[in-house]
Amino acid sequence: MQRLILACLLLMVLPLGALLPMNTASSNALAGITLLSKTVADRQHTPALPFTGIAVSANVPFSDAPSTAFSLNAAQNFSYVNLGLGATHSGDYDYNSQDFRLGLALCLGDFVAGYTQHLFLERAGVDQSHQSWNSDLALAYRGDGYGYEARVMNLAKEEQELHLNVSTKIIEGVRAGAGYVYAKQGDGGYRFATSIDLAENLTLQSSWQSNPSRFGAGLKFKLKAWDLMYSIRTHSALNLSHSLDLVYVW
Amino acid sequence: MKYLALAWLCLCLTPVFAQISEELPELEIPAQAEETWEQLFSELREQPLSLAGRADLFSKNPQIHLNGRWQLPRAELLALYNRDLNKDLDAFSFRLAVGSNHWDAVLGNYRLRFGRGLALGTSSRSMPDSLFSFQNPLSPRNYGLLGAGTAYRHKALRATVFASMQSREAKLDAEGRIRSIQKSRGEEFSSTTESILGAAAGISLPSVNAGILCQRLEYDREFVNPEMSRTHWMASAYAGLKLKRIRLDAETLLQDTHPAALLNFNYKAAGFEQNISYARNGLQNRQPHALTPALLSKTTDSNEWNFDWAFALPLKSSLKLRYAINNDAGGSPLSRFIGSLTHSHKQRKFGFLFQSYDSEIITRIDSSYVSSEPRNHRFRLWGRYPLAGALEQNFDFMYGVQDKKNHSQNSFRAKLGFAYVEKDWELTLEYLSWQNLHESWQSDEFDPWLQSLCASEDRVLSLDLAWGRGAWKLAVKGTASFLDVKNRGISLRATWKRK
Repeated sequence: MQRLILACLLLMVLPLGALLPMNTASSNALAGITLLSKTVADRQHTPALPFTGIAVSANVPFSDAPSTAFSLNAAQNFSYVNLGLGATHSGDYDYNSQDFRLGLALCLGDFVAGYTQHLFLERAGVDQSHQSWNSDLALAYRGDGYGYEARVMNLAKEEQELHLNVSTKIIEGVRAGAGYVYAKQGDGGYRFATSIDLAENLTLQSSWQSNPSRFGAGLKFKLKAWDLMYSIRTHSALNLSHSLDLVYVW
Repeated sequence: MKYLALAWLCLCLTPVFAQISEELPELEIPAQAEETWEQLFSELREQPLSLAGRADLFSKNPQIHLNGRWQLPRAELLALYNRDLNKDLDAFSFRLAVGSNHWDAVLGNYRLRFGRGLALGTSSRSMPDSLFSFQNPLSPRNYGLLGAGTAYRHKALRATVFASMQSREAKLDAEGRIRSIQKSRGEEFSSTTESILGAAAGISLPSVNAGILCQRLEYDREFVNPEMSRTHWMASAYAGLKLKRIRLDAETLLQDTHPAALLNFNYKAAGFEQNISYARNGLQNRQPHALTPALLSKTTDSNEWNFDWAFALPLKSSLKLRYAINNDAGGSPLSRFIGSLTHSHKQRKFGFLFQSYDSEIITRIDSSYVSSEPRNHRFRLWGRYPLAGALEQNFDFMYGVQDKKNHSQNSFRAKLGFAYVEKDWELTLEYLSWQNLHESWQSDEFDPWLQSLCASEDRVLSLDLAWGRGAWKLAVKGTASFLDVKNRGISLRATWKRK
């Protein structure tokens, strides 16, 4: 089975695209393949996460400080249900946006099915904010040896995206994942990511995506229940993006 | 004249996350101020001698509050002070309450509740525990009763006499006649002297309460409205009956020639409660010192029927439903439907609230309320639960459908908060965002009649740090807006209690 998945991973590494913003260090390092992340910070990128904890994230896209996005995510388990709440604020007085979200994930063993409802606000100048409601839907399996995930972002919207991801454990402490993104508008793309435990408290995560070609890499330090992660992501035409996650896990 | 303008989205700007009311908040602004004061008095009453101070600085509405309470043998002294730093305005009030087995007496600022509160009382719609009772005063800026009152009880007999005399701010015309009377001190208008003398008597048995109230109200000036005279007489009768699971009660009121009535039927069984009430409002202008009960519009000759059901559900949940229909003379019926589903288990609480109502219900009260749809809907989802250890999370999201075609016209308020308690320390972080169609009016937390202009939308981050040990509790709260650089404030709080 693992060989089959590895073959799939290799086949999927073809140059295509990637669209939605990645506001966490983990998702920037992994190009959005959240099957390899074990952080509640990524709850804003996929509804199908079973983790609990609280995370604060900062993302400076393309080194543009005024566009810095600050995110707060928290998730708690109630029996089989994982409730995730979060908010993201980015921009300054001239232009800013907010994303409020509430997600429910049903966790049955290694299977997770989740739904997240977003209220997205965008404001330019002194005009009233524009509201939009977005929904994400996902189904994931997170086994020890391998995992897969299908998620639909911005359900029934023009910006709808379908993400199909798979992951596998190559050896102990090393995992790899690949994904394909189909975008309703514009080009989709392929992604490939790895997560390597360099030491007991240190993990290196890296990724590559197509269309545009971007590399991402990040280091995660673990100290008891705390995770601190810093990552960067390149762009073919723009400056580096920097991200930082601070996570408390329970 | 605009009776009350407010911003429903901003009602919970304060860190209070207490009772979530099912009713439309616009109809319950006075009740929310009452709740705030009750919480404050409850805190002050934890020890015999307590002082609480609060300074809201650098905000749009900077104020200083100083409140004290002293418990004496068979007596209690409350002293309240407020200073409005913008208007350079001071207000002070006190209440001395003395009690014995047969007598209660109050001196200073007080409120009296009789029966259902149709004539005198609070904004609470709940069934009274007693025939009449002296209530805590509200903000020293509010005009309540100022004078003295005494109540006597002997076995089943109850009687009270009360008097009030004070100078109240009033808008006058060129001839010195009263156009309107202010409910809050502002030192902006002229004044008129108000004198009230009243008495009530009745019986109070375990299953029966009945009594009558008679009151005379007089002003030293004529009113512009020819239908209003300087002197008003008011008579009210109340009766309540308990029959196992059934409670019946009714209050009728006659002010001058205007009748009003409130009838209520309540049935309560294990896991189920039903309430049916009928109200009729014949008062063109309510008593200036009385807080308006929510269920009656201020329109003359209006009738309102209320139907309430409450069910206990599995999984420690409950369902409440309310349907109310209001008929005005010559107008079309206005209705509202409210449903709430709540879950409460230890520290974990979740709730969902749905409100569907004719928008005119609110525009009658708040002329700044704008809606393109005759029928509006609101959704509210809230929760509060522990995360890990001493860390707690809360969220509160409200969304109002006022325009179905352009959803960006609709109003919302979203709050995400965290609280952390460790020994003597308490840290609270909140992020609040709201959007409304236009700028609107926000009622003060302590004084429902004091309003300040509220931005049509904002994103506010607040951090509250509190420390308490022994007799002292100190706290500081900072707020900052992401959209308005001038909208920042600091609030300092201090409480001292001695055994």
